[in-house]
Amino acid sequence: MPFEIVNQNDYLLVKLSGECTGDEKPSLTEVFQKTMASSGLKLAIIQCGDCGKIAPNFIRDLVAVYREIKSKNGQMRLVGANDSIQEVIRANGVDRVLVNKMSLRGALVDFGLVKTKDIDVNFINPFLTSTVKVFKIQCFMELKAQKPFIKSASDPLLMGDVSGIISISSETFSGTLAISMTEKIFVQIVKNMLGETVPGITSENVDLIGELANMILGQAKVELGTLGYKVEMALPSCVWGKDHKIKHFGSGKCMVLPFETEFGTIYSEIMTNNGVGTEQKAA
Amino acid sequence: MSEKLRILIVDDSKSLRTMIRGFIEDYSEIEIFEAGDGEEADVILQEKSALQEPIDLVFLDWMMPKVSGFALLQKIREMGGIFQQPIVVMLTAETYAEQINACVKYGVAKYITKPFTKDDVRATVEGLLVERGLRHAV
Repeated sequence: MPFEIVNQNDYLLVKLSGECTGDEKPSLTEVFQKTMASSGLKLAIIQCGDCGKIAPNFIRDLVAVYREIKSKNGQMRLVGANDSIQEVIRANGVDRVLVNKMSLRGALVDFGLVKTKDIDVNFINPFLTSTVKVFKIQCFMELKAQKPFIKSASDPLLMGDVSGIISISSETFSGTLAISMTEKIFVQIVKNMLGETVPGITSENVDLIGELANMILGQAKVELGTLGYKVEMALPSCVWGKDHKIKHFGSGKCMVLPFETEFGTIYSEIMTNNGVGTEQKAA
Repeated sequence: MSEKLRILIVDDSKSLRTMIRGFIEDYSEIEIFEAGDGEEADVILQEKSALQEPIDLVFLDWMMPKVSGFALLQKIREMGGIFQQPIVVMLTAETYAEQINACVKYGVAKYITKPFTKDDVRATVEGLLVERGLRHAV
């Protein structure tokens, strides 16, 4: 069968796979009605990530499931529907009914099943591992992660002499990642990467730190995706000079991840507009 | 004497371009060109093709100002007639499977994610040099 229904305690997860024709016996509608009745749940997520194609007949099944849920005042979301599936949905005039979200987290936010609370180490870990990896492979520099701490987002001062900043956007939050270091470390990195000994930070070499921020986010987003955070990247920017500042998004907390190197400390700052990263699933 | 292999490095980071150039510039059989965005790269590709000195290999970043690497890739693949298609290798921090699949659909020979190593870049160049008969396989 191209579908499987799993009870996730708070909601029903309908996993679609392969090609869904609508000719399945028993049909999705029949199986869903029984599962919904026995579970008492009225929230459903239709996971489409492994489904390549949906026939118009199967859209009828999905709409029947939607009707069943609405009759109990529940909610339903699709997650990860590809372009061809979304095209079939639009062609059938139900794209405002079968609402697709890019990530599982996006659907859970719609259902009110996630809320801001304490530190979510799951969000921070991808940034820790990706920072260490990028510096090891690209800068030939070993980093040792230190204990993260929180600073107020209203504190704009960055910890180093030069910083690479990149904005993070997703359907559930937006924010910034900044990587900051002293001039001494930066000069060493330029030497390691380009083989050039430079006297300091200049407009000719400062783009390097933006690229590092870009790579760190690029690596982190794969792991973030497995946690339900689907993020998009933007072009990085670079700032430098003593006591340079950053304007982070929002007014929440800012997580600072320090990393020790033999040349001093590198800081990574992560700030989100609605407390993601300081979030956990509601009990 | 065989013609040299023409390589175009497209990345908005000058430092990254310098680093990639540094990884391969010791090959005597290659000629290296650089572009800082997709628009600049498009001009070089078309000019070199029109002069019958086509670019053989492009190392292409994704996220760039003006014209992104992916938009350039799509444009390159739509060009026909007298335009001579280069081999394209993506060299990017974009890591989602759907992005990789989209590039494969447009015929990229390889998708290298940043951070990358000297070997990642050299293996690509060396493979092409051998394929074009400009260098013997080791």
